[in-house]
Amino acid sequence: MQTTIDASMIPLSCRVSIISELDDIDALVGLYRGRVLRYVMLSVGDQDLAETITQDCFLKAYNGRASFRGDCSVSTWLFTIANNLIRDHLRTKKFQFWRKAKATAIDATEMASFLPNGETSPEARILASERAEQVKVAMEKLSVNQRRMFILRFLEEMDLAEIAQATGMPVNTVKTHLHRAVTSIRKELGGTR
Amino acid sequence: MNSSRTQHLPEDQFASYMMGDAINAEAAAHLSACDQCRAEVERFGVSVQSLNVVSMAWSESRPSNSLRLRTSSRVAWRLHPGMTVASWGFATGVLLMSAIPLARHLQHPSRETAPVVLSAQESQKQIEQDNQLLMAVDRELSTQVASPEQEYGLDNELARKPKNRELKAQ
Ligand SMILES: [Zn+2]
Repeated sequence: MQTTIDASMIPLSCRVSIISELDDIDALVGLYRGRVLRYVMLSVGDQDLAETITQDCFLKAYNGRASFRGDCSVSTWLFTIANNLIRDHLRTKKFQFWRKAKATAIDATEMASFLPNGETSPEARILASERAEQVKVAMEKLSVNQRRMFILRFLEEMDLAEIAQATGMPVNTVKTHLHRAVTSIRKELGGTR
Repeated sequence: MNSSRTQHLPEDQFASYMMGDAINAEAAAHLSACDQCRAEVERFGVSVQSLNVVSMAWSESRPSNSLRLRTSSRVAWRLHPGMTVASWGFATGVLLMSAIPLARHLQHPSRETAPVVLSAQESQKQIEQDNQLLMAVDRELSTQVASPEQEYGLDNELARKPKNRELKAQ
């Protein structure tokens, strides 16, 4: 059963009192923006759109912070809002979204250029970017649900219950999508067969 | 068909293992004995970790503007729409008197503070245009399989509710 986006961007299970972490929006952004932006970017494949959705996510989180109850982590709550915003975008702009998403996608080589110079040798950077690109290309062949669940599980290291909460899907559905995602990516990476 | 496929870790067991779930005894025994499968598991993990590191480096490098101004201007408006900078000192008493209702306001966000999807300024004309777009896109996508909209359950939502209500500004 899907939750409707108009009812609330915040799940009922996440409501209680304000916590201090949410009171300073720039601090909130400083703590979580990288993860939310990365998630949205890899989910929608478009940099500009990802930046917009991420900013909206933090504004909505801040404006709705009184509704946060602290019975899920702040990051799970933020991913829930981000997921709802992505859905909202699909609903209102789905035609453009559909077309544009692949056009401005960033590849892993470009991403790897942002690795800190001092900490990474040129060889390690090339290797990391090659491996990352393989996974990224493989991820692009996944369905939207498989892809976002793969990101939440393997990049965000969220457990199944958290992913279920963030995506509004039953745990078993999450599991099914994840199994298919792993199997598909395994094939793309060229596994034992 | 490749018969060697079944001799290595089956798909479901590989997926379970990578997800951190339990695998059956046969798969566990195979994994401990098969260098090829262990190498595959390791490669999968290292590749995903590479994307993790690289994508995080990218997202952390993206500049972000302060959102404090945008949020503080909204709060100031809520305190008193007509309040000017010069009136702040004079208004201290008023603020103190309004402290309790303001606190209540923050504890129980109105429709405005609640994270509503569509802005109040969205005109009826825009809604009608959106509805037309949705219908056109629905027609266009009706022959395609597994669109992102279907996966997000939006098609079900659209089918359940009249589109005008669906898009009505909050
Ligand atoms: Zn094997």
